[in-house]
Amino acid sequence: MTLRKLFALTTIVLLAALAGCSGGETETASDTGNDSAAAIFEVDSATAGGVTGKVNFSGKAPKRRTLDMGAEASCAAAYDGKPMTENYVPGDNGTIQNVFVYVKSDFGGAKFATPADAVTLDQKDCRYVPHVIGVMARQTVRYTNSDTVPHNIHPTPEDNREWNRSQPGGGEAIEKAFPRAEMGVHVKCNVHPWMRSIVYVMSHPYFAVTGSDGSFSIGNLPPGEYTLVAVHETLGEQEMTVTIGDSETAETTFSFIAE
Amino acid sequence: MLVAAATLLLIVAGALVTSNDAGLSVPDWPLSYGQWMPRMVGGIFYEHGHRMIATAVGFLTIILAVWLWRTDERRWLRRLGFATLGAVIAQGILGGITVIYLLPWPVSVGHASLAQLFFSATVAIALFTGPGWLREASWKTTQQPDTRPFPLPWLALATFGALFAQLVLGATLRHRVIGPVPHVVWAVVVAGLSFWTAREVFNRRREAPLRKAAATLAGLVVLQLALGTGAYLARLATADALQPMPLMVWSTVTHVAVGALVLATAGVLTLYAFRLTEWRGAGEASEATG
Repeated sequence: MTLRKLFALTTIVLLAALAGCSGGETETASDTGNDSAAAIFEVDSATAGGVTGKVNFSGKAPKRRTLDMGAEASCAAAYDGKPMTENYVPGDNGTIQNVFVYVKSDFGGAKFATPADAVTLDQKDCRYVPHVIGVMARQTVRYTNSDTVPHNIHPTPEDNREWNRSQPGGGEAIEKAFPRAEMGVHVKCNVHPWMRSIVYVMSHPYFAVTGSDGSFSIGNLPPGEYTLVAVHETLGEQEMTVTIGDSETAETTFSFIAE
Repeated sequence: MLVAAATLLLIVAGALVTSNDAGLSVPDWPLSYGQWMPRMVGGIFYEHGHRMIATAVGFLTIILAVWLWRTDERRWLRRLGFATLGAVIAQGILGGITVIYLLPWPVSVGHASLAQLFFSATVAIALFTGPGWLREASWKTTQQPDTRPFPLPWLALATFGALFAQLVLGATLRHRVIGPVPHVVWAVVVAGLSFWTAREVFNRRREAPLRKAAATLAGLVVLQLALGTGAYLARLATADALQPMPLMVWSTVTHVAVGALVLATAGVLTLYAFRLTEWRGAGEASEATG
């Protein structure tokens, strides 16, 4: 084969490979975890209950490292001391923040209405705020940049389409959704490598994230027996069974113990 | 030699991009945030810095290719010059594809692997255009015969090929396609081949260029094994760090850079072995090596 033919063949193969690759961000309407033929999950408000509780921790706390924000002077200047990692953030009175609590059930394959409200993930003082969020599949996540420096939002999902977009300081919000349920999508910033958020994408609305008081609250649940799961990025997972009676709000407590 | 040195610097810059997870810190290409010169902060410093050095290497390669074309009467060398120019253009395109398509691993591994071959090619050109190589008349009379089933030139070439495979495995490991086991296992094979080749040179050959290249190869392989161990341990020690830690970054980057030097040295040894060994007819051998 002559050099010229080899070059032409190589070019054709490369172009064909590029045409086959798609780096775009668009998701099709069919790319969804919700089957359009499934019945809508209905909740009788007269009997609906819920579950509330706290997530406690005892034992040796996971090690937190200091973050080196020297690569961006304005980031470092936003903190009095050295900022710490968020792999373990204690809450009030021996509780833990940033624990994702959810009902482990597919609810018989039922479909749930996608909330119209967006969940906001902000970039402030060169951190993602909040560190952990829960959203429903196809629910809008609104990415904002409250800093004066640009960031680069880069979710790294396994089951959804990966994307990577820059956002100037104070720039226009970016609104995108994850079409498929996925546990723990890490969102990072390639400009500032210490920035990290975790997004839990659920097929139903029964989830919560513990705040500064370590508490969670999940409402509008029909009566029944459920498996409740608490997930923490460093401490792992715990499950428990919760029984909810008519119009009852069950109370429960998760306890993570480290040796 | 200037192109070779600049290319080694470019490989270091590229390794810094990967180790600092900065490959996507500039989401557009060929511009950076729509500009020729963005704010050089955080990951942008590494990614755009890599692009700037790559541009310089590109221009130097153009000059080299044109210079060879205009001044060197060896047609094969002129073609090699243009081949390296084609390689650096391909590198630029591969780099752009990795950014636009969010680091598809075959492209990232291809980009890393071609960089190593390109560096070896620039070192080879420096060798071919150096005063030592051009003393052809004296070399024709000093070619050593090697009639063994596996003569030294082919042993050296096999070592070069094994080293390149090791670099590809390393790139695949860096981009999280495979675990460390294949790279570690092949390191044993590569070290064995390298030391065997060096031993053959020291036991059977007296030519200074061969012995110097063999000693350099053996020394660099020992260093590379130590650096690889260090890089792996550094990665284990900083596994739970949220951001790339300097210990992990620099141990890995040094390991990548020395890997490039190992490959280039094996290439030089191979070229000298073919040049100085009569493994075919005397006339054919000298014609093949220019």
